[in-house]
Amino acid sequence: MTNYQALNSRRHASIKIAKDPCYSHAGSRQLLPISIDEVALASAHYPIVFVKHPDTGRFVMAALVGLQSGENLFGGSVGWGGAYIPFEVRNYPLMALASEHDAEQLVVCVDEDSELSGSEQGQALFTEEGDPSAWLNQLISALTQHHQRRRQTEQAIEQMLALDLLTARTLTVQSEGGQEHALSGFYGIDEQKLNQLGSADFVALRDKGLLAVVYAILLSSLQVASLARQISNKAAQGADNVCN
Amino acid sequence: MSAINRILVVGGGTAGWLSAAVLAKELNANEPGGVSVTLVESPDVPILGVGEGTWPTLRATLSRIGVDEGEFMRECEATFKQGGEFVNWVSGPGVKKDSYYHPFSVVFNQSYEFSLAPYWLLGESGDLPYDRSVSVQSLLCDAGVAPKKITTPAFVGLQEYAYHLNANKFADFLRRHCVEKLNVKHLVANVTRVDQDESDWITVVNTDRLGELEADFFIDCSGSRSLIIEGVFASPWRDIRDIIFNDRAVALQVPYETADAPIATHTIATAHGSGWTWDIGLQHRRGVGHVYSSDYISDDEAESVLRDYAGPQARDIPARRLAMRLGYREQGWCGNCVAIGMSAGFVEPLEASAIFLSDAAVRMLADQFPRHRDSVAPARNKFNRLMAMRWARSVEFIKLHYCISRRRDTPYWIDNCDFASVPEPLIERLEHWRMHPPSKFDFESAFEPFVLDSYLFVLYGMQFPTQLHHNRSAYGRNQLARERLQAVAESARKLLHELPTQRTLVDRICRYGMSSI
Repeated sequence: MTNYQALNSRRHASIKIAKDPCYSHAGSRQLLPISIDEVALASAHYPIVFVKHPDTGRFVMAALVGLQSGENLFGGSVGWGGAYIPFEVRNYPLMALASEHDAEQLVVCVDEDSELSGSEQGQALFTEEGDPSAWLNQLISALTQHHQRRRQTEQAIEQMLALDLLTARTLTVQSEGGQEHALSGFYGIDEQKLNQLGSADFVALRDKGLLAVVYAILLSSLQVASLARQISNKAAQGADNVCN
Repeated sequence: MSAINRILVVGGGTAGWLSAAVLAKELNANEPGGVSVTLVESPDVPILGVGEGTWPTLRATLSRIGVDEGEFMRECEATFKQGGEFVNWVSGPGVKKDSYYHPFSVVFNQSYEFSLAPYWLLGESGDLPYDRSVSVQSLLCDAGVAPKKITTPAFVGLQEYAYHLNANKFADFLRRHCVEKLNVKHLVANVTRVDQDESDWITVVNTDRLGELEADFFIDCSGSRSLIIEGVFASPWRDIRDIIFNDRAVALQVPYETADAPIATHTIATAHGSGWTWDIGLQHRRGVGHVYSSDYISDDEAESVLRDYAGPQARDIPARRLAMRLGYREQGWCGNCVAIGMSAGFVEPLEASAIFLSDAAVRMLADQFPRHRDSVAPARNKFNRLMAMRWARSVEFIKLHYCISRRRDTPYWIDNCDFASVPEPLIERLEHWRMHPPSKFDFESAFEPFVLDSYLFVLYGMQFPTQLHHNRSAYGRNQLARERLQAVAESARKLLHELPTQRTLVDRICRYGMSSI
């Protein structure tokens, strides 16, 4: 369970944020949310899928990193063997969230319950004078921008839904042993609908900067091969790069 | 003019707008060459606005006419209905709990292929009542959970479901949908006179402020006023008060105790001394009513029974009294006019059949719709035959709830259980069912309103004493029966773990809507 609290120079005066090259906090998650600006990089490694959030039924865009709930096939090695690390995973335990009192206001928060948030190791959040550290200041800008992009991602999904481009998909992964895994409960881009879009709708997609995103997601379904490979990689993993 | 291209619907409540919507959609009122649909309603005559229970068929209809389910539920204060619970129908109030469900879902008990009823009768479920043995949905209703999740697509359910809805808001909602999306023309005026030609076909409806309204085909949705079907065609009314005694109702709207109070996922129908009370949970209030017979109880006493049931929250709330004309027309279609809704008939709301029968009638009409005067007669005869059967069977099914009761505590119950008040076809079926459980062969028509499983739930919920021991050897598939019964229990366990409460789901739907995929 997380416990995000707004950054406070008194409450968090002595807090330092440690770095975990294994990103083990994401080691047991099959789905990692990404924003549209991450699609190009993420789709080079993972299938990008849409899933419904269990509490709201609204679609979320995510990188699929495992074959079953609770499994991250990439999490076992340092830096995930070079695969793309999503922004939220990279910057955890820090995140920009809408303020409880005013939805238009953003507040940078830290997950106080995280093992990475402590008083011993890592980058200090605040200086001795109680000002944000130089490191934090740099991050604040990136975190706020990312929050903007999450909003844009929601809007992009709405636009895709309005054009009827999403459809339920079953992804089939064939592991080296010849075993087939059918993964359902996900949604992807309906290629047929995409090809049948009228000119006006198609141009609108381009003008909204969504063409590349839509095609990248479509083609990312081929990355199921990457998941299959990862199963064998894990088996053949050397001792050096292994994470706990 | 022999071509039929223009429909005029007279009357704007649930029946009127539902008819307009289905006809406009199925007959493509949006397209050139399609049939045009106009609805005229009175600015002075209020709609009935009491019918708040529906059937799963309405769900299919709403999907077909292009409604957004989330929007519909939000705007009509709707909640999910999974069936009906019948309380105190068997022996009456007493020490032992007397209640059974008639749920919509028969997932594990498709009695057409393999009925669990005889095995239940022979004791395979021990003491567990029929509904909780064979129906996952009964167990879900007990727990107050919804039939789906926020992630389930619109109009899809993990169990069959219908809605409880605010009748007034539903009529408004359908009106907006008809006008904005289905190209239905909306007129407001009072009908003053209806003109016919030499062949008795209606040609024109005269109004007090819009002059003459011309059309080729007319739908009479003017409720109990029956302006055309009775006013012009004098289609005979078949009275059913000798069978169904409840001719009055008194209704109240009761607030919940708190904003997050649980919402029941089924209609609760509780039997009383001279009638029964309905209890329907909407999002922000309950609708309760007492349906009763004026021959056995006065209006004031009936209101008193309702207020006792409703409790102290209802203390300062005014009740609404209604008289119900019980019966139906064997010819709901005369000439070029079809009556749909209360103008066609009314039984009593025990199984929420009124909206269903309107929906069924208009779907059949849309399917059979004649585009030419010469093709009217065969469609009309078929329609009348099928609808008359549906009305008659609805009357019988509702009577079934009464006539096999063990209650004899008031003259109302004594008279209701007297077989002199039971239709002959039902008597014959019950005779057979004393020695043999209902089977698919008891249902000749594909269009009967109540199917085999519905009869099983009511018959065995009412503890009807079917004797099977003389024919025990015919039921040898005990192993299969046990597996099925176990599958019901397993499936219920799993679903109870996954499904949200009705209140939680309804709140989420109002906030986030429902995805169509």
